[in-house]
Amino acid sequence: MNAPERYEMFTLPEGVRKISIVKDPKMANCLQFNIQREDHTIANILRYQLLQNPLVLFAAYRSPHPLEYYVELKVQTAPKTTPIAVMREAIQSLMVEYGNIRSAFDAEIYRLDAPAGEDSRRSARPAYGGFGAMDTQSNDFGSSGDMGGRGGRNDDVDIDF
Amino acid sequence: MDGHVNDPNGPRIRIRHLDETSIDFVLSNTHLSVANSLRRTMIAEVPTMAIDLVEFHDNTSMLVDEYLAHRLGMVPLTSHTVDEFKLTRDCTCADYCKECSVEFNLHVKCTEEGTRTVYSTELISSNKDVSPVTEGPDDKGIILLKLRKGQEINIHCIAKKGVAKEHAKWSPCAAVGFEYDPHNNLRHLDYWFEKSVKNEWPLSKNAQEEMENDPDAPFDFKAEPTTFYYNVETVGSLKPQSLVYMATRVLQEKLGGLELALDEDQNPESNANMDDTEPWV
Repeated sequence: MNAPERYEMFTLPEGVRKISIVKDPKMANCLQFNIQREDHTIANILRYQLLQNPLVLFAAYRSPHPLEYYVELKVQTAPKTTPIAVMREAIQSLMVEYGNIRSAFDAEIYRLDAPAGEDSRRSARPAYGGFGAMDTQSNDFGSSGDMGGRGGRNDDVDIDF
Repeated sequence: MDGHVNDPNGPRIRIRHLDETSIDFVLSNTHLSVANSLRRTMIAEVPTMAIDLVEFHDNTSMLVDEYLAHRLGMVPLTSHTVDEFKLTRDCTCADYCKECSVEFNLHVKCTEEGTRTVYSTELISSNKDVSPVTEGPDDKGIILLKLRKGQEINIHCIAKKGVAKEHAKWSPCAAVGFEYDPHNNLRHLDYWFEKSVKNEWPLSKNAQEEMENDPDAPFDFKAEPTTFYYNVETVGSLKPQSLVYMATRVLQEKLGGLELALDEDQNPESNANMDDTEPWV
């Protein structure tokens, strides 16, 4: 029984950096980002977003071993910028992308809810959760009504663009 | 700047079906990697509540303790307030507390002839917002175990917040259907067939949304998928629309964490292995 604990997949151990940067001695303007406790979910979108940038000459990632919970992302850029700068740009534009997906989703939920209040297809639903949770609808942020205008919630302003 | 809904180049979403436990939507104008990250996040990284510890005070039923403990872990719990809980690992308490867990009690003894069936709704929760999922007020929930005359079960369960990366019991999804390019125009698939691809591989209903390329036209090597079909089924712990919503937030939080980590590495004391005196040539 020497399998690592499952939670080690996503909890950063004490004293370990989330990203450690290794310089590539053989390639100009090239850095390798070792991103701890991340997997294809993050590495693949970063690689794609980096490759959209014309100043990025090379961007690729690998997951070295299924039981080593980090990914290696190597980035080479044109001399006029740095790998760190393009990484930051990529991260920011991805955050905007997910923000856009969410607002498109909100707008669509709002559109579904809007037509003619009472016979809207979700307004007559029974409260979900039943036993011991009768007021789920009122404080569930996913419930109908407050999805479009997001003003009612103030906990989703965290890292929103 | 959270709104480019009308941006023709931004991502678009069209919901084709929505009910209590499932959502069918089309995401378009984005990249495959982004669509796939959304799928992966919904399956494995959206937190929910699930029973994680079970103390057995009495169990004279037919089922052994570990069998029953595993079974209890799988019971979906309503998790719309999951954001209010801390992960037990991050909590300041020694063992578990109100901030990071919910307690459940179950004490049933069968005193009559015949079989006494114990349902998940008989678990008594310490938090009104976290309780076993039911399909409406008349539903008794999931059968946990059955007792015969004289048998007794007395247990104390602790439900914690977690993600499905640790254990699948925390997954808010029963299944996520994901498809793109139903006509295989991009040739990402190489179908095996005996006589005819068309007859042996029937098209999905998503095929009606797209045109098939002219088979005689030259293959476009630069074409990329832009439209993605999702069919997300939840286990009832979260509403399907909350699930999609939370997945985008989880991804943004992850990216935000990376950005912070990059900033840290700019500090002079960092281990970035970057020698400022030496240009990167």
